[in-house]
Amino acid sequence: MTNPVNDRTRVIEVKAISRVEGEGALRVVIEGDQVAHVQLAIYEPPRFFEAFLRGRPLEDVPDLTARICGICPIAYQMTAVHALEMALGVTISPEIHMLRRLLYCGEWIESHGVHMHLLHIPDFFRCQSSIELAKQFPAEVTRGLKIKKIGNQLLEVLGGRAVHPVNVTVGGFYRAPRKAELQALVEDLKWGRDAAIEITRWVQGFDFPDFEQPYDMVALQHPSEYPMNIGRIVSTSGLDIVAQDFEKHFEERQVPHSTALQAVRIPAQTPYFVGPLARMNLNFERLTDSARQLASEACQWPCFNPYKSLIARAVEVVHAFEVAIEIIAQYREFSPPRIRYEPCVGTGSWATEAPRGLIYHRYGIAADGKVTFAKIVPPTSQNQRQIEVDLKACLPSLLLGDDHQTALACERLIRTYDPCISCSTHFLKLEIERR
Amino acid sequence: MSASTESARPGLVIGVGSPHGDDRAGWQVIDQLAEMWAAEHPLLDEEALPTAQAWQLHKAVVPHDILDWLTAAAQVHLIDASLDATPRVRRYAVIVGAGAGELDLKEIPLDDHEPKFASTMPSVYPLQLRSNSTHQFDLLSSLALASILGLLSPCVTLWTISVEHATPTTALSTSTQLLVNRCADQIARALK
Repeated sequence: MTNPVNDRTRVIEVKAISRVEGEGALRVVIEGDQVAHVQLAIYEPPRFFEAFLRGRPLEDVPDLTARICGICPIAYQMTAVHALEMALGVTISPEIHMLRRLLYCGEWIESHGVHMHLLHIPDFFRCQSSIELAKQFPAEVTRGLKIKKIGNQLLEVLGGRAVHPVNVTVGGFYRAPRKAELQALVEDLKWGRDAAIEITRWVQGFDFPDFEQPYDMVALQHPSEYPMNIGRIVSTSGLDIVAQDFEKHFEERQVPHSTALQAVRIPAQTPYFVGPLARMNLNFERLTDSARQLASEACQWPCFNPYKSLIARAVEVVHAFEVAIEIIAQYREFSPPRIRYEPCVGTGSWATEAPRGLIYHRYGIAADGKVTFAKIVPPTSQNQRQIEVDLKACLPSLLLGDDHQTALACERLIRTYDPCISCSTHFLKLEIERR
Repeated sequence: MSASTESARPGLVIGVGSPHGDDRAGWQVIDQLAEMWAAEHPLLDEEALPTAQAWQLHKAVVPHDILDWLTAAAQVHLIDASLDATPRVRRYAVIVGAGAGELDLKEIPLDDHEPKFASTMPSVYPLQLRSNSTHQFDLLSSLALASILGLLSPCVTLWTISVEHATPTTALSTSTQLLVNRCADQIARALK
């Protein structure tokens, strides 16, 4: 774990960060009592999705991008279809917008449920895994798994299947659900809402490390909805832009120690923070009444303690259940389930809120409907630089312990971001130098 | 546990996989079992099939999805790809150990349809399952969690299919397809 280089220099390495999705490592170099260097090294093989989308029919994009991540396929599908619809000049109906919100509710519920109970909550009880946590709290873990299952059921009804949903298409859905199919979920959704309230009350009592940073938090914002599929991109530092201007204010850059790109604000080249905490800080008033009340009881807002992302996730699960129940109550069967379009030359870009934070896509389309260009910026690549900065800020308070404990504390901080490393390695810039 | 008691339990078959190349193996087994069952019941329409089946078939993209379906009352078959130098299908009985969350695997030769739990059977735990990298909460961890939560039946069989690659957008390789066929055939016989 520790490789002393000389008397003044310590190197702490975590060769494989545990309880995160994908494969990453951490390297910290300490000189004297100063943290000289922190590297979050992603070594998951890059998967070149942006490259092989080129030349594919635009209709293939939702299905292919969903394969970038098994944990959050809806986030990729939603962002892709909205961006392509923009390129094609398609305006979806209010009914399709509502169903897409409902689908995203399912993904938030499922993803947050998994992260909280299988990955993050064990940290608060010094458990190595959710298996150890389940020995202490079997009822709570069972409750969390049932919430995950309800999220998956919602994805299955709307998405055609929970595993890489197939019902989403450019223009809408291949098939709109029958009212009875959605109505059959309501009892479980109400149970889930009540369970999510209990979970929020449970986690708010955890012992959260006292660590705050002046983050530049970035999220979508919408005048009437807690944002999922639509909104302007705003930040706690005052940014307020349309999603189509994303690349004027943010850029991904390659770093030598990682196969994943890191995103920064431009021109300042500074890190920023996306995710549930950013969403909640920037959209607090858009939560449902009971979710907002719960959040107010749980902690002070705005909140800049990344460990309290757990509370934000728990509150968002309550919110997602309530939105889902409301949408189903209002749902009326409609036709057609999708808006027709003709392929045309165009470019479209869009941002939505994946469970882990802001996700951005841009596509170019040729006259024959083939993709000419694809750019995909997932939330985890946007948080990577901030994670490194956080670790550098946090480490001085952790260095009094032995290196094994320091490494564990670093992993706990990384896990607050719920990183999805597989998503962040979807693309690698390839430069060929010929001499 | 007698054979007649085992066969009285409802059957649950879960394939763990992804759309990437040979990592589809677990899902392909599920698809083949569904086709086999549909072929045996031609009068049932597609919508009626899932509820009419004696066994439930599911595909999981992440191992912990199996927790959505596991029940202590079911006869369970799980299929996952494995990183194994020799192309083959292997079958293991999952045995709950004495301690909470402890599991052991006993390999059962494929041609022997009567599971034997003799201590002389070789144990090859841990396996290099393809599902290992997802949150590092792999299939065996998911089963251990299920055991602690009282969701694990005493009749759980793990089937592994050796795979060559899991490259996005590639098709299942011919060698893996042959293994998928063998695995599906073995499971179908076990479920009769």
